[in-house]
Amino acid sequence: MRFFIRSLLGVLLTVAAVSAQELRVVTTQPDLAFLAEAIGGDDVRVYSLTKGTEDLHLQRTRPSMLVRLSRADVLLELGLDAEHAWLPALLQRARNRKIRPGGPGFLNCSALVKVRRKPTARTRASGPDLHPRGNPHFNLDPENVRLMARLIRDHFSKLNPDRAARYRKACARLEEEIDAHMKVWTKKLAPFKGAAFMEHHDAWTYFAHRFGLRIVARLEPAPGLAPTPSHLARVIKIGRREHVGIVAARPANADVAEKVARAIGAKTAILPLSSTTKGRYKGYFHYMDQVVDTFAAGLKKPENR
Amino acid sequence: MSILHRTTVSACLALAGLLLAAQLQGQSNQDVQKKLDEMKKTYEKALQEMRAEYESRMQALEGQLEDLRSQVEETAESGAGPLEQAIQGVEREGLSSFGQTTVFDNRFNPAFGVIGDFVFAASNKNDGHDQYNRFFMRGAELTIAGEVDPFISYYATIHMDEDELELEEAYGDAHDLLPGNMSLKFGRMNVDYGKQATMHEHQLPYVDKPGVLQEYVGGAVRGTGVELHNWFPVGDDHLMRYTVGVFTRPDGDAHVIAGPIAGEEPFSPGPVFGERGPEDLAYTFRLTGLFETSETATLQVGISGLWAPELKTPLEDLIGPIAPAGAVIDLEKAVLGFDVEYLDVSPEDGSGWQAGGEAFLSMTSFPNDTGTSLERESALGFYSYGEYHFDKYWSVGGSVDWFQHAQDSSKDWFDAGAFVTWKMDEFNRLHLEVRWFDDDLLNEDWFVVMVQWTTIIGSHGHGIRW
Repeated sequence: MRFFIRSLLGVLLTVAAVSAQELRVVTTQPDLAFLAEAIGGDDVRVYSLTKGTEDLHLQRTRPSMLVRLSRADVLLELGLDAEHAWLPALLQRARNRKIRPGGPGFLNCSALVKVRRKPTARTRASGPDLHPRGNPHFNLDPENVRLMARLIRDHFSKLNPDRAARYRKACARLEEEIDAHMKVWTKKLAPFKGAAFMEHHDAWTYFAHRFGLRIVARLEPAPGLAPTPSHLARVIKIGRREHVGIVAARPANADVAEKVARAIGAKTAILPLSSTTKGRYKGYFHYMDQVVDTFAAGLKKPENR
Repeated sequence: MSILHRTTVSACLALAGLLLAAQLQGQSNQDVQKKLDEMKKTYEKALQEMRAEYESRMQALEGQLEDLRSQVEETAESGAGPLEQAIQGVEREGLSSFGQTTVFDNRFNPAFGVIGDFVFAASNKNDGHDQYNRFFMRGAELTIAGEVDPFISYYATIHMDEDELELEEAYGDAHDLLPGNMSLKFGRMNVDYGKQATMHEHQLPYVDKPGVLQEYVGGAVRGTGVELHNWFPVGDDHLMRYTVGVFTRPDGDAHVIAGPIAGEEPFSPGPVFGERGPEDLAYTFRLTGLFETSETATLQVGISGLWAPELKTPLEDLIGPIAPAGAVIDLEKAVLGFDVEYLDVSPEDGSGWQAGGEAFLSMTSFPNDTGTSLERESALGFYSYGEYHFDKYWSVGGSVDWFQHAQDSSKDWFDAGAFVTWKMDEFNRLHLEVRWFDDDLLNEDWFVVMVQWTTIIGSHGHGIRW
């Protein structure tokens, strides 16, 4: 009997100790969840508030979001106002000081990123979905993902100092993987340096910059405005003139992208703007493999102009 | 470095001078060769000096680099991130930041926004009150919001139209002051009653508040008082929420184009005279559950109550001997509501549908026909609506509305309408609505066609769809 009680007590204490160390991490999108899991390993329980296929402007608050945030130890956000439509209201009502900006668990993962396309004029006339702090789709550049990983490593180390060495090792392994993938991705896209493509929404700037591609037009006349016939006519002219090989769009905007692609003899790259929590784009490396393959299959080499 | 440069230039000039002199003076080649050897030695010496200087500089830089590396490793060992420290370093403002140096400082300005609501309504109803076949500047609402301190925020909404300026809401929200998930609103506010009564008109899927809401509570229930909010999780994906409120008086407030109170002031009880008691206040509650039925769908059910034991109502509109002219009388008013809403709209492309409705039981006391006594009248009513969203820009929908008149439940009202909405972007909305009305009390039916443009400029926030 005594043995049984001691064993039970031992198990309970072990469970309690493990639970005490486990960090409940909530991320605003799946790339951050991927990084948190890769670095935190068994020490973290990660939940992504979005699936990765959403238009973050259209995301509405759901009851589960509020519940998860109210119980979280850590919140990882993309930042640069990517989550402006839903996160502020949730943070106010979740009543969890740990994960509010300034709290010990909050991390803005754009902190180290060199921001691109920061608007000089902050007016709605420049576009209803204008991001005043700059383009928030920096996760499409794998080198930015490296910076995000380092931030998360340091953040977890601060919250759980006993495990800092473990997080450093995990981050180093992740960076090695990024290096290895970057070699492959760079090699695949190297022949297309200077190649032109179009996008539906202002999203692929960081990707284009990393791999030396040119975005020559956007189907939206301004961020958040539906394409108009006159604007599309201009875009089609540019597409033909610039020898555009790819028209990139989210699945929700595939129709108009395919229409333009047909008109200019290009292919479409119908892709979400991040990895996803399930399905064919789950996991950042897997997602980016498919992004690179899609672009490599469609882009036209500049010398063929 | 400059000494080396000067030495080199001087040597070149000296060599050129020597060559010239040799040519002019006819000196022998041997003398020239000797001078050239001397110059070569000078160059080699200068080169050695340069190399030594650069090597010492490189060594110093390598030393500095090594120091930085060891510092980085030390901080990493201690758990504090070097990158985070780097950020903190960049974020230091330094001596150039003077802080506030003027009396009027605009760094802590509240957020301002304006919501415009412009309607054209055409109808076959001849009401004689210039109500239809005209443009309406229904309102330009000025919204002001800001944080008072870490615990309390403040909101105000001022409604302006062609005829009046009205303070619709002005309240504090102690969102972080009470324990748990409790928060307290205090001031003048849209009372948390039902699903659509709390909404401002521009947030509705149709032009006006449903007729049953207009008839039973005056469109929106607006009161001055306090309201306690709390929510709690139910499992990982659902939550329950409740509010209880106490208000000085529950005014109706709506800016109606078509409906039972169109062209009229909504229900507004008179002021209280003399000694006040708890019976002079109005009490409200709401209990609602939000259930996430799928990754895109939410079901909400709720129950709301409003009870005003002794509403003071001016006698001017009433007849009979129950109170002297010019006095006020006490009327009891209680309205119980049950609401349900299902929302399944994809955040990927904005497509999907939503449907909902509310049913109400109104129990109100009125003077009888002869004005000799007060009678209690109970009446029922409901509205329901459905809207299909093709994408984030376009949607179509319809709604029906039926109720028994609050003062005469033997007469009822019915209206039904269809609408098309084009959200040009997040801040611009065009709306076309056709609605048919049939009122037993007037013994009349009519239709109204409305075109509405709503817009938002300036600051705006996205709240939780409670």
